[in-house]
Amino acid sequence: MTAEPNDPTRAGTDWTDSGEGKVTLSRNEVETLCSKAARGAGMSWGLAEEAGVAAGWLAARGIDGPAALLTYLQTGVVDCRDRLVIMSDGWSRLEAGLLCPIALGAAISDFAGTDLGPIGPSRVSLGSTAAPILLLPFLAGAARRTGQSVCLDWEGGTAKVGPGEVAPDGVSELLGMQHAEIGVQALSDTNIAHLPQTVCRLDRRVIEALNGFAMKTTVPPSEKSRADAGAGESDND
Amino acid sequence: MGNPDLAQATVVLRRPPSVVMRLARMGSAHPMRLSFLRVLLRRMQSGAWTFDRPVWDVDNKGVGRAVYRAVGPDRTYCLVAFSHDLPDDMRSDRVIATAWDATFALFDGDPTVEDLDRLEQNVPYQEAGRISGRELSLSRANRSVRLFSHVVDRLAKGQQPDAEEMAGVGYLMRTTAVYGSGKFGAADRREIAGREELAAPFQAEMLSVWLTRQFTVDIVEHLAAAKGGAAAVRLDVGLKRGLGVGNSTGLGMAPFLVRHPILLNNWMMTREEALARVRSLTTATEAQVAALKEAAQAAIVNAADWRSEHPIQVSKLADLRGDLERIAAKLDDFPSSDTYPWNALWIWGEETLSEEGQEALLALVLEPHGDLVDGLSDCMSADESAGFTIDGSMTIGGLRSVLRDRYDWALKIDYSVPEEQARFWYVSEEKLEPRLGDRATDDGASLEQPLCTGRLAWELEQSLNGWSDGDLVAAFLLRHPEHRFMVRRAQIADRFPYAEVQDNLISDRMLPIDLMRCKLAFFGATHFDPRSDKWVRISLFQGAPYPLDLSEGVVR
Repeated sequence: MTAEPNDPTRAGTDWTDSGEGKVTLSRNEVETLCSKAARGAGMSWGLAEEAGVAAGWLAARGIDGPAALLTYLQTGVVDCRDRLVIMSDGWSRLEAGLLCPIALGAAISDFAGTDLGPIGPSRVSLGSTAAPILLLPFLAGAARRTGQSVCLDWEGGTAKVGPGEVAPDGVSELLGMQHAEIGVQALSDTNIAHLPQTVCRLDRRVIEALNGFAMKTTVPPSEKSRADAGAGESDND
Repeated sequence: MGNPDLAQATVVLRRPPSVVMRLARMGSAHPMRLSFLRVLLRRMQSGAWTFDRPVWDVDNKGVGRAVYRAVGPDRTYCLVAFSHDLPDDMRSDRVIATAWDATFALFDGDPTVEDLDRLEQNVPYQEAGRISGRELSLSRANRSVRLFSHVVDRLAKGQQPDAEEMAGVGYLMRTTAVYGSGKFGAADRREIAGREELAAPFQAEMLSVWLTRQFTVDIVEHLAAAKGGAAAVRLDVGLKRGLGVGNSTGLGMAPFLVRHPILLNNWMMTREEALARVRSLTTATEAQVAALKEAAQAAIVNAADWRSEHPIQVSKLADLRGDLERIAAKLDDFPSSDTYPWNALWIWGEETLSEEGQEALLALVLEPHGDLVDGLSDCMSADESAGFTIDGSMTIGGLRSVLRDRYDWALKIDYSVPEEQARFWYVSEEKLEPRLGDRATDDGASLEQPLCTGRLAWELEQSLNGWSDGDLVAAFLLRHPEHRFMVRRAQIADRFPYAEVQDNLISDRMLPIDLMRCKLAFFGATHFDPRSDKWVRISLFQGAPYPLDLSEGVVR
């Protein structure tokens, strides 16, 4: 057996020639890939970490969060820091336009457990949000910390999220939506069926496209950079 | 005479993070009882693990495959090895290499022939292949050109290799990357973390390297037999025991400690707790004193065999050798009549020895106290997801106070001085290798990685201007998503005091090898040998028993 050389400028598996179909990735790989892709598409480091963890959480439940994240990144990361205002009288929109599901999810997570958290007995409208499937992990985290299950609604549908889990109903409809007018409300029902955990299966083309974004976080090689990283002398001795 | 004031303080004393978490001290770390390969060997020896080599299908050129099996009380693990005939000009230890002398995967259970065939299609290609959730690690090794052919030639002629040559290198092969934790399709850490034998950090990787050490000896003996026929002999048991597995490591290892703050905290705090326990003892038994002296003598021998040509390490080795002599002399009068004799020894060391010597003394004083400290290895792993969720209900006043308490070292630095921002960490397109650039002259600073923790903390603190102490972190982050990364770290550091390296990681004085030495010491590495300020070689398992003859050998 010989070891044929592979391309040293490549990060790993070359997905471009591997044809159609799905590939099993470790959850760690999904998180890392999605986090780097989000950063490569322009998210802050901290939100990019959230994007990676959220996509991994969904993929581990058989929900193609990575594909939804990819679609969102392809349409452009939304800077919504001036679009949402959270005051003692509730959550409201300062300006029109889509909300970033990662930034909104992070805000829901951050405010959960404070007096300003959006999840209460009356419905709070959050407005038009991109890739709303990506909110589910944040809602599940908020539900775990507050012990309060949540109903996420959009025109014509709902999804139920319990502590750390999501019920199957409505998930595939939500997954198909590039954006939606959404709202959240506390659920009195605490006994929520949940999607079982599974291995992460991703479409090769999704991986390839996410990897394209991820590679934007990297610096092209130069002779100097290559030499700087190594031993001062030959390492073949 | 005991000093009551000192005695009172000692009972609870751990060295503070401001002492322990400095690069210069981390870069003086020594392997010790709680190092991960020691944890593995203790388990393998006490847990009645058995080992065999069910597959050895290697031709006369050394090409083929082998399986090394470790059978424990609950589960079996197998190292699957692929041995190659690598042209000399393709041999490189850099991550950007594309072929190796041998490649490995640690399989979870007993592999079938189909599993071996699948792995043979992937493992030799390393990063360019795919493994699965049935595998726990992926690794490769290159021959030491100097030693490998010397040993094969000698054994083939019926002679033993030159002892001096053997000691000068210390290993037949060196690993150049050992990937675990979900890399390239391998099982996620979270899938195996609940297994008792893999709960401590890096146990799968350590097992893989230990079994690899057996392979390195088996392959030289195989090649010697192929070459010399009936004249060939096997490697002398004593020489064999002196061989470790080398490891060659570049910058890729350095960011790990920064990226895993809770894990770093648990390693450091556990080690400091072990030291504090020993310092709090009021007695030193005869057996403990004998074990301490034996460990000191072994350290002197180890330091004498420790070679490096790098000026920094040459100077550190001189410090170490001098300090070990001082320690040995001091032990002539140990234990003293102090109420806390171990603490008295420690205080003497702090007043007398270099950082290199002090950290060596730490490893020595733990050595006689397995009963007291070995159980602490259960505290060294970490569920890092536990630190992920940001507490948005923390007030800005609370965050300010965390920054003052945990990042005072960072807030004092003037980042407008070019020297304090001289470098930047980045990821190269080439196999995603982490690299360190020169901000003034190199391209890529706009793609800087967030490893400049000190500057990030300072920037966060600046951005808090204008916010009231009573405001919520949640509200701040809604307006400042660019600080989310650092707020997460700060909240982790608040709960985990040893989470942050307390030095500027982008200054012109920073030495990446200090981070690497700290991590490698926790692995149990010996003979730390820098080849530049970003590249090192070390040895693992030197002096340890081999899996196929577990009863022989001891580990320091």
